[in-house]
Amino acid sequence: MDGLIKIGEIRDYPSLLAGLIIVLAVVFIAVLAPLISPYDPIKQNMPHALQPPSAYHLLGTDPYGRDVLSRIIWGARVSLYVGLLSATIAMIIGVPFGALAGQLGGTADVLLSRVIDVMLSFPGIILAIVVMSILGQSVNNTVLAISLAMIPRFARLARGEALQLSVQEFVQAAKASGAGNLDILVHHILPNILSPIIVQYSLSIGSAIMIEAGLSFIGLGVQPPTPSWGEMLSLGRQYLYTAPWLSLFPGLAIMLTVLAFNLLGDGLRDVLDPRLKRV
Amino acid sequence: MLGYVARRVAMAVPTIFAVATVLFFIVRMVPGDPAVYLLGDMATPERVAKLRAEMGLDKPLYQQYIDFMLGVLRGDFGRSFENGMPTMVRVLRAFPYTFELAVAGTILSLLIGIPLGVAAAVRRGSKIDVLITSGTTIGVSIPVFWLALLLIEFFSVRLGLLPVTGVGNNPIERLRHLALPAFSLGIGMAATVARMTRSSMLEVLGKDYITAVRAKGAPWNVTVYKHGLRNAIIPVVTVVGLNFGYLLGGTVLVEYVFGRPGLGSLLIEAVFSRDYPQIQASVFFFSAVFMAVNIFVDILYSFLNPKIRYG
Repeated sequence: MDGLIKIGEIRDYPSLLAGLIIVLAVVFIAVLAPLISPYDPIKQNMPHALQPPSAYHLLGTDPYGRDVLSRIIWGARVSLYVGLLSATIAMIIGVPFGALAGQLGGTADVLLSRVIDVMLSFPGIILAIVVMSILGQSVNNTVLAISLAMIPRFARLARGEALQLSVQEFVQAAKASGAGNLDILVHHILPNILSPIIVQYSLSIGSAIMIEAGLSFIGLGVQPPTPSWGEMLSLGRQYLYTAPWLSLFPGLAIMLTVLAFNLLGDGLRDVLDPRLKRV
Repeated sequence: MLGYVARRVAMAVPTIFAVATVLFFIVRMVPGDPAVYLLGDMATPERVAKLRAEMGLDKPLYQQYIDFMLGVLRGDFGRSFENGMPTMVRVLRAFPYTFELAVAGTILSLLIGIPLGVAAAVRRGSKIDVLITSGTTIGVSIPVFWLALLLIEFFSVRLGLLPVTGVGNNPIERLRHLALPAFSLGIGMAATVARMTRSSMLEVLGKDYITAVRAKGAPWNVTVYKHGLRNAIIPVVTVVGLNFGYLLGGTVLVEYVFGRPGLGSLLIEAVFSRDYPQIQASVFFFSAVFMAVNIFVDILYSFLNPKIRYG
């Protein structure tokens, strides 16, 4: 990839820089949660229930007396876990299938395109809701449901890119010199479609975090008492009149994290694919 | 043109059958016997067997599949476990609420997004452009259900201006009940529309014919709106259409927050009560609407842009 930039040039890409900084911050918070979290995120402390933000509880407490800041810090783990894992699974499954279909063309392509069409005809979160209703609620089932909903995005992207590449001379030359399909896929197609895939990967982590929050918000995703931002918001919804801080801060955490991955994706696009650089 | 429309519709038929097939099998993947679930663990084997027969579960799988697909052709997805009503009737009763929400959200997103996109493009590189562009990046990152909570907190709890739940029973009340849900849904979409309008406008404004119009002495406003926006709007239409699925997904969460009796609420309720026929009917309907909108957008696109019409 000759589009890579030197470290010093990163300042020319403000979205990349901003996205990278926030993503790293969230990762640090998630990893260091046991060290930096001021209170136990799960243990109930009823005498301290529903306290507004104060010096003791910077972001207030919830109806069970749990510290909101501590739950947000621990919630970063769930969000990152689900976001990273679902986007990764979707990419690992979607890209090779899509790329192979685009590369081979013919019946294989028609078949796979139909499968993608069918998967895309369910709006993402609705597919995830249905899958959750069948698998049952847990963190790992949430990952499965979201990956499934995101596979077609990667497959469609990889197919389109591979289709364009498959008619180019270097691929034709490899074919003519007797290279097998798998060989061509691994050595010629995949390395050349990495840039748009990486961009899509970053954006997909953001969407996955958003879908997880949505599922947990309606009670279908991560189950209490595991701290998750979406679940915290669903609790906050019941206390809009008396404890608005419960709805404010977890939502801010979701927004910042999703924003960070979107910025990172946009920034990576500018760096990796100057053709697509936004005007 | 008619040929193109017919072909586009014909292409959707196998997809819709595949969707129905997926829904048939997905529900059969659920562990446990639905009849036992409905009657509870204490039910006698005779009663379970009777219910299984009523539900057609005692037939071989291929027969169940044929029955299911014949039902789909008639729009019959069976009766709701919850209250015995035909599931499609419940779907059709809920749909208008979802439809008005989706339409209101789309209209708002266009009303907000297009002017912002044009403003940013016309003053490219200025502070306004930077502000709008960063705003749109933030806009697409806001979770709809969080925005809904914030709007309720501000407009209903603090100011007491707008109602939180329900749908209202006269036209004015209905609009008042629609306002917050539509905004919650429309803001994120407005950001996407603004982004697309901006880049599309920039591309169009760089074209030779715009320079020609300017050289002819046309005022800037006329150039921007009559010649620029008119041509720039085509990709925006496509983006709005392609994002309709996202919008439909968003309605599920927004309806949940505001307690609107739409398709999304129906689906969530069905999921929690394990009302599988209702889940199948609701999801099928969501997909059908989604596909219909995609076809409509394709047709509209080919109508607006004769260059890509291939039929």
